[in-house]
Order: sequence, then C-alpha cells, then structure tokens
Amino acid sequence: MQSKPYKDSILIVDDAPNNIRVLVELLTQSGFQVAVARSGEQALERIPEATPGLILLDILMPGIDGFETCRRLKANPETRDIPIIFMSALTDVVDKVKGLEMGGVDYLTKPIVHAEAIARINVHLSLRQAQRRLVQEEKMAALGQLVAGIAHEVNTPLGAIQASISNITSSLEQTLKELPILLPTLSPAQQASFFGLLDWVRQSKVMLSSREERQLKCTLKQKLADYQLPHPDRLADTLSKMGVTAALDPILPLLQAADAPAILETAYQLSIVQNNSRNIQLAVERATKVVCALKNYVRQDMVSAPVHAAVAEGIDTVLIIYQNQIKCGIEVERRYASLPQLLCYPEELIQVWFNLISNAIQAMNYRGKLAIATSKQDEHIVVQIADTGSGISPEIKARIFEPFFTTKAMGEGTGLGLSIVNDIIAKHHGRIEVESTPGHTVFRVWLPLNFSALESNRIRKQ
Amino acid sequence: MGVSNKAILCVDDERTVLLGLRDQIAKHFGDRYRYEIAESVNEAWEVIDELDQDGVRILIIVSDWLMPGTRGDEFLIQIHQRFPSIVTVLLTGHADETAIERARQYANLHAYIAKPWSEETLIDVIRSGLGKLDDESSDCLCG
Ligand SMILES: Nc1ncnc2c1ncn2[C@@H]1O[C@H](COP(=O)(O)OP(=O)(O)OP(=O)(O)O)[C@@H](O)[C@H]1O
Ligand SMILES: [Mg+2]
Repeated sequence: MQSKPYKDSILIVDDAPNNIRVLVELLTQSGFQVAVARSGEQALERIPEATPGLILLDILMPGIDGFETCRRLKANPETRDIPIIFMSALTDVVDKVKGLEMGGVDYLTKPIVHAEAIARINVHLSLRQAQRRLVQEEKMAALGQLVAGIAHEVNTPLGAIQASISNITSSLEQTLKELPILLPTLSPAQQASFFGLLDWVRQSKVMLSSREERQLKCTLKQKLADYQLPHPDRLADTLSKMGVTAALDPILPLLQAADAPAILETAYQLSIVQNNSRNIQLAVERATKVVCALKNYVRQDMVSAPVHAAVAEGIDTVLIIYQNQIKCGIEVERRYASLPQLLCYPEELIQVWFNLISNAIQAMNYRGKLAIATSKQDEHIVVQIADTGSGISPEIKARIFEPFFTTKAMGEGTGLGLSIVNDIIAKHHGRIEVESTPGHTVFRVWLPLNFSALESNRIRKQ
Repeated sequence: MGVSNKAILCVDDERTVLLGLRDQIAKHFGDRYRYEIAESVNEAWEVIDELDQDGVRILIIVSDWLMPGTRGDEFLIQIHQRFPSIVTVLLTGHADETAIERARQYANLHAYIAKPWSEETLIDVIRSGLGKLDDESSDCLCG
C-alpha cells in the first residue's frame, strides 16, 4: 500500500518556541514533514483540515492542556486513530500512565533524546500503517471469497442474454420469410386481431409455469372445440405457448382463417422476439445490479462529504452480493418501513451491513432465517438484523466489538468486522446494540436523522 | 398431430435463463418433444410426478447448479437413483469441481455446460444425450 505523503507528516503541539525549533529541525532532518500548532485549540482547529500521521503533544500548555486535547481528538471518530505521543518534562509516573490511559501511544520525556524520539516515532508510524493495511487486506480477502459467487451471478444473466439473442435471430429470420406472404392474405379484421394478439402478449408480463401452461392448453382446447374450430389441438398448443389467457373473441377472425395454424405460428415467432427482448432487458438489469453492488462495496475510504441516501438500498446491495450464499439455505425476511433519506456515508454503511450480515450468515452456518427490518424511532433510523444462529454467550458479549476479537478459526475471521462496524457507526453519531440468546441474535443500529446538527455541534465543541 | 409423450425438462431458479433455454431447445427440436421448465427443485419434482402420471417420459434434464434448497448435483443424483435412464446435464455459472465430479460419479452426468453457454454447445449436448438414449434403450424413437 502506498502511503500518502501527508500520512507521514507529524504535528508538533507545543507552546515553547525553543522546543518547537529543536523538534522541527530534528524531524525535518529525518525526512518528515512537520507542522506546528502552538496550543491545543490551534491543533484541534488544524487537524481536520490536514490530518497528520502522528501527533507530538505537549502536556503543559496554556489554555486546554495536552490531556484535554487528546480527549477531544479521541472523541472524534475522524481523528481518534491518529497516534499521539505525549511530551513533557514531567517525569511523574502518574502522568505517564494518565497519558497512556487517555489513548496516547507513547511518552517522551523532555529534554528529548533525538535518537530515541525518532525511533519511537518510526515504530508508531509503521504500526499505524500495518494496522491500516490489515483492515484493507481483510476487506480484500472477503472480496476474494465473493468473486467466485459473483461469477455465477454475472454469468447467469449473460447466459440468458446469449440464449435470447440467438432465439430472436432465428425467429426474426423465420418471420421475415413468412410475414410478407402471410399479411396480404389477411383481411383488415384479421390483421387487426393479429397485431392485437401481439400487443396482448407483449403487455402480459406473466410467464406461465409448465403446469399452468399445460392447464391453459387444456382449457384452450376445450374453448376452441366449443367454437367448433378446426385443428383445436395445434391452435391450443401455439396459443398456450404464447400464454394467451385472455378471451378468444377478439382473435376469432384469425382463428377462423383457413391457415390459422400457420398464422398463429408466425405470431408465436414474433412473440418469441418480444419475450426474448424483454428477457434481455431483465437480464441486463440483473447484471447491472450485481456490478453496482460490487462497485459500492469496493469504493471505500474516500474522504467524501456525507450525502443523502436510502439506507435500504445499501442493505440490498449487500444482499445482492451475498445472494449465492444466502439462497441455498437461508430465508431472508425484509421488512423495510418507508423512511426519509439519511445524511450519511453510504459506502461505509454498506460495510456495516456487510459485516453484520456476514456474521449472521456465519453464525447460522448458512442455514436459518435472516430477518432485516428498518424503522424510524425517536428521530433515528433503526436497522435491525436478526439471525437464528448459535448466539453470543454472555461471557464474550462485552468483547465482540474489540479489534481482533474472534471466536472463528484461524483464517476464517480476523475479528476486525465489528470493530470496523463500531467505528463507522460512531462516525455517524449512532449506536449499536446487541441482544442474544441461542437461536436468536439481534444487532440493532441506531442512526440519527439530525446528522448535520450533531456534526456541526461536534466541530463547534472542539 | 398429437402432443409428444417425451419431454425435456429445464430447471433453473432464474426465469430469464429458463425462457432462453426453452425457446432455444424448442427451436431445434420442434414438435418432437415437450419442453418443460421448473423454477426450483421442488417444482421440478412436481412436474416429474405429473408427467409420470400422464405417461410422459422425461428424456433429459438440464439443471442449474446453484439453486435455493437443493443444489443441482444433489438433485441430479436423486433423479438418477429414481430414473436411471434420464440423461442428466448440469448448467452453471460457477464451476464447483467437486460437485461436478460427484454428479459424474453418482448421477452419470452426461455433460456440464458453463454459463454463458453457446447454442451450439447446448444443442450438441442434448443431441448426443438423446443419441445415447437411442443406443441404450430398447424402445426406439422411430415412428
Ligand atoms: N450474529 C452473530 N451471532 C453469533 N456470534 C456473533 C455474531 N456476530 C458476531 N459474533 C461473534 O463476535 C465475534 C467478533 O465478530 P467480528 O465480526 O468482529 O469478527 P469475526 O466475524 O470473527 O471476523 P471477521 O469479521 O474479521 O471475519 C465473532 O467471532 C463471533 O464470535
Ligand atoms: Mg465478522
């Protein structure tokens, strides 16, 4: 992974000009990009604009001190992952411990020993990078598993399209031969009912099952016999293949023609063109959905502004990606309330649904019921994902959101899923709850609808 | 002209595939057979039972592999146990080697076709499958 240059930049937060000078010189010589803030307030103001790769934070400063600055940085999901190294002349163990407890990764005692400072900074930068790479790799591994399934999802509509094209081609070829000869032999009334029949077929969106088709054929045969038409068998055969369930009166002129079977055969060929064209359209829609779902999933980590989006769409994206693993043994129940759009980071929410759904599927060992419901409660959009899997035992329930906590076998899970989920939900000012008994586990995600108010509040507080 | 008492059955959970398949096969074999479709393994069994009752013989089954409930290879194995003379063909968008191998071994799989398929391949496979039947079975197709 190529690290972006600004990730290796270091922000020095210190009020003493002397310290700043020494540090700037040292760090620049070692090849880092350096930025300086002279107070905690200034640092908080600057960081959202230019995120540093690491922060060197003095503890004793006028205004808000280093500890408070750290607390606020940790409270903000966008800045909480930046490693912070505290600096102070205080050699008090209590302060060192407090710094680490507040979420600092390390502590440098002033006066700063150059070699030690550089070594520590390098360690934390590469740790941070390794962590980021791991998250990325985790995602790629999950993607790899899905690719095989997606091959099926795309090849299926492709197969349908290819078959339909060959059907259209041969039907057209045949009708182009027959139609010019046939049409002039038809009376105006017969022509009208010929095209009426085709219209009817085009508009009826139903495709009959074999059994329905067979039943239809029986009924048609009876009706045709009632009309005392010749060739009831052949006519019924063709009409049922076309799925004609409508009354026969409008096409009676056609059925009474001397060469009715040939005329109907031609109409049938044209209906094949119509049906297969519609088939292609359906298949293209299917394939497009799969591709979109994939794109949604891979697009990631883009620093973008939140946008308004429908939460259910993101959930459906994930269900499409998972279609293969779901459809064999899992019953999916979707109960979506009609909801307002949510200001959010849609791609990241997709990752939330992705992780929750894949956990649910795994917990059910690919057999069971997955129930997804959305609703609006107390100015929040609530998404509930329930499964009938093994459940989460009380002993581990408190730990499941920890990074790297997993009960899955080596290579099966890294334990990062729920910690990613947690981060993303925090970024949305939301919260997540879990209830579990064996055979019934529910994850409930609360996403506030007043995201922008909360967001500006957060920025103001800093 | 009577309706044929021999059938070709296609099973796939995707309607678009079924429609494409059915029209393709019908185009080539015309009135000689009945073309039946089923959207799931359950529906396929219903069709099979009905046809059985009506005295229609299924010659070939072309089945998708990845379907809700039962997978194509399992389905074809069950078919083979009950109707050993039916020719079995798997049609799938994703080749699971072990499943194909299993079907070869226990369902006497005649052929495996990958999606997207070419019409030529499909028709060749069906034709050779029917040919295999002619050779093996005593009741001839002539007449
Ligand atoms: N729906 C669920 N039912 C039962 N247990 C669950 C469920 N969701 C999560 N867990 C438990 O929480 C643990 C942590 O989940 P998390 O998604 O963070 O990691 P993982 O699924 O083990 O691995 P990864 O998501 O990285 O593949 C899981 O190992 C599992 O024990
Ligand atoms: Mg997981």
